[in-house]
Amino acid sequence: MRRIAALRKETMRMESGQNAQKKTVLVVDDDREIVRAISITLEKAGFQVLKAYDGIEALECAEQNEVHLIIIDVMMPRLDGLSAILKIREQKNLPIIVLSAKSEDADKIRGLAVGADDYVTKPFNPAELIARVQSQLRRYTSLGDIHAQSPDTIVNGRLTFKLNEHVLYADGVPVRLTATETRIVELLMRHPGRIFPAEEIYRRVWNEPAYSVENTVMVHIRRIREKIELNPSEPEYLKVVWGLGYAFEKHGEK
Amino acid sequence: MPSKNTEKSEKTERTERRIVPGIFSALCLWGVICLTLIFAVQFVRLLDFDLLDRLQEYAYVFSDDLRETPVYKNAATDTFAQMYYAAESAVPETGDENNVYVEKNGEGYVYFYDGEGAQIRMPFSVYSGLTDTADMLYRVVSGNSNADGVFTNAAEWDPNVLPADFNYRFSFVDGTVKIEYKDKDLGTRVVYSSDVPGSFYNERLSTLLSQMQISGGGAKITSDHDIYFAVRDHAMDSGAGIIGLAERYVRNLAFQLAFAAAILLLYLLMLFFAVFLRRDRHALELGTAKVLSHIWFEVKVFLVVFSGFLIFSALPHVYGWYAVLLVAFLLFIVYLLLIDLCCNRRVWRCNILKSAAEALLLGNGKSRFETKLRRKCVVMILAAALALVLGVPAVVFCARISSPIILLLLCVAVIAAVCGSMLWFSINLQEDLAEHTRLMGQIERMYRGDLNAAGVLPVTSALYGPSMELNMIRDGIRLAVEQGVSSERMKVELITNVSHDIKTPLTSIISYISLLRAEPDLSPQAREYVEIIAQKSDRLRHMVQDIFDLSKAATGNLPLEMKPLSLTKLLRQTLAEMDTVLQESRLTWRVQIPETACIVRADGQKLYRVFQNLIKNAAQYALEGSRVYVSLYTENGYVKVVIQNVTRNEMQLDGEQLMARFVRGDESRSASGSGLGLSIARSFTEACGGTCRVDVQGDLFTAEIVLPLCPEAILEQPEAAPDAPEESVSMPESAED
Repeated sequence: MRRIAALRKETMRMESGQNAQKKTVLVVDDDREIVRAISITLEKAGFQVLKAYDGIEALECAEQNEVHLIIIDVMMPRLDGLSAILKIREQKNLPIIVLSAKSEDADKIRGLAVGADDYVTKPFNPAELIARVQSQLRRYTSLGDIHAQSPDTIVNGRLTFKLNEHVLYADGVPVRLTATETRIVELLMRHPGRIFPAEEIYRRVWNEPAYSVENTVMVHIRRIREKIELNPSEPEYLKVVWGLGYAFEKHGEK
Repeated sequence: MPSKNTEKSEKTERTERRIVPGIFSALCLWGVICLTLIFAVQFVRLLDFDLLDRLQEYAYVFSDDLRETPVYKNAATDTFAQMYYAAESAVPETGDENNVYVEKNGEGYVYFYDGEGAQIRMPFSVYSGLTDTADMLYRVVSGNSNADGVFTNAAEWDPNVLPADFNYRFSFVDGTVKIEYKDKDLGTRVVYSSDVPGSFYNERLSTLLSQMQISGGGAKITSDHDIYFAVRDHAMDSGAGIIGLAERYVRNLAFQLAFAAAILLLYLLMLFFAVFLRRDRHALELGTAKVLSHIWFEVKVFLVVFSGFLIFSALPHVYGWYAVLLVAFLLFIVYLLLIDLCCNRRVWRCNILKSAAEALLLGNGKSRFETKLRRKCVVMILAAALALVLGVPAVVFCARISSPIILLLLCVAVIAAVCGSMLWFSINLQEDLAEHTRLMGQIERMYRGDLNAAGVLPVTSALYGPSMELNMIRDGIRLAVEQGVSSERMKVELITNVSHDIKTPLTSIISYISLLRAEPDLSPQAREYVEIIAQKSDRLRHMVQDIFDLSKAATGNLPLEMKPLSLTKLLRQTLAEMDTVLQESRLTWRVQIPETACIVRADGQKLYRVFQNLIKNAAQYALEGSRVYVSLYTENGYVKVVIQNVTRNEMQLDGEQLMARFVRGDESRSASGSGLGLSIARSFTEACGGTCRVDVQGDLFTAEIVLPLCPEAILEQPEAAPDAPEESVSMPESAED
């Protein structure tokens, strides 16, 4: 919730600061009520919304209008979501969020493989959807240099850690972490994908021999999550590897 | 008859109960037939004699007075009549002319010898009785009026009258002797015929009389004399007297009658049983027939002829009981013969030749393969036998007449023929065995799971049929497996589709609830309602997800990443993750987890879910303020995690029932559990190779997870990470949020 609030603040700041142009989101789903609900939520959050109810309409809409982000369902008549994404990706690079009732890992992988940037399963928390939309937009439209690779930045998906500053940026927005939290994040981000047992984290970060540290470490990890994850209860980056430890999952660069 | 009994008791499948009546009935029948034969024979024999007289005699058995029996009469008259018949024989040396010498021989007779050698014979019993004259009165009266013709020892006795205590009266008058017993006339017997010389008569009688100390001896008694005797009972009947004779005779008759009656009764009884128990006997006969049908025909013929020959050659030479035995034996043979012929059809079928042929595999095998092999076998045997049968005599013959060379050649030829036939057989056999092996190979491949193993045997092969059948079985199995797999897939697809179909409207519900919540103008009432709907829809969401997970676990479609992990660490992580839940639960959590890492092979995510569910359950349903015990320990190669708490509400269900889907311990409340928590916990635990057990004892609720230890598994050990550069002093100190 903190993260979402922070993002919202940032977005509004940005919008007021830069071009006050509203971003346009295209919402595609064959269920009219869902489209309507999402649209209202988006409009309340300050977006302009275009609606489509199947793949063909989506293609037409995307061609004819300037769209900054597409939220698209998979199972639709005439042309399904994944095929539509493929077609859109031939010409456009905008962020696409897939919305689907299918929650299997295989489905997620498939969605991301055809070119989507994110995958949200139904039923979803509308606030989380908004956060994701904003996150994607930020990544897409924000200054590119933030995400530029340089020897002293570690980039992992929407998170960037600037080593010289010891600051973590999520979607280009700096995250306020405590010293301990920053050290943990740095340690984990330096070795993305590697599993660190709690004892090792403790030893390295607190510089003390570890003894019954699971709780302590977990508390910090939870706090970090709440600050950086879009949905802290379903973390995408800072994950618990049950029975082994913790790890920062490696996310591809856009 | 021992042989009969043993043969009949080595019976077939009949129960004990039926065998005994059957045997009994058969014996009765056999007895009846034997007796009938004997009666018939006796009857024929009796026809020679006076049947009617014999029958009449038996009537005397029932008469009161034995003295009326003919035997008595005859014996009595005979006794006295005998006195007049003398046998011509030599005179013993010692003998006085005037004295009569009495000699008793061993036969029970007394012989009187006079000087001239004549002899009178008298039963000793009578003699001994008569010597006591007090028991005898006599009077000899001359027929004509000869003066010295009256001899008597009882002058007052009227010979025509029987004195008081005398019972017998003998009258020798006119050449006949008449006996009277008391008042009864026991008969008259002619003792003197006119052909007999009178002196003969006289001398005998006078000798008798003198011997009987009848005075007047010396006078010649002629046929003109009338002689009267009166005798007491015991004189006549003393010792082994005539009455004894009669008694014995009658007793004999009585025995005969009784015996005949008994035989008749036995006959009737046997007849009755033979008829009454005929069903059992029929069953017995059928069983016997069955046994007999297995005996070779030639053997049977031989036995019948042999025994017939024996019997008929022996029969003329034996009498009495032996004859009866032989006849009985003959009857037995005939009986068996009849059974065999009546019950078994085509008795000649079971013979030596056939058995030999079957033994030599000439018969049909049960399958084409068997038949083929058998025929080959037979050909080989016959060829070899023929070679030997022809060759050996030829060799012997040649050994006598021809040169050794030809002999040698013949021997070689015979051996070659025999070996050749065996060789031909074994070569031929190879082919069949090879086919057999291929079929076996195909079966083995199918057994090992290769359902594509096709057996290819040529159509001409004897095993072609079985091979094709095997192929069809394989196709059937494949089809069944495919159907099973596809039905499993359909099940999963069904659940997937259903849960997707539910998720879609649920999405709308959740979205609009969130919009509703954001509406500013709701009354508190409405807001409350919205909250309720929100809770329920959330519960629904959890339920749908749980159902989905559970169905995947139940159909084995759960994607599992089994890795070695430390269960202690996992449990600690879970507790740490659920810290908020623990804090807010108003319970005291007693956690006992050892320091050692208990390595198990499992899917960490799933196990986390398991423990999450169990801990959530404890947090939700435990009695407020009570303690929850979470412990982990190892035992016998297993690691156990036990979560125990006191329940707030009474549990009417036991552990197993609680684990059932959609069952919640407390039915009335509206908490957010889906009722699938324990089911999922169990399914996921079992998917990871462990067990989940829930036990309810009163108010104590115990959940136990058991997993096998894998101490040899090695955890993912990350390589020693390069030390992070020492944190520089300048770090943005951000305040804790």
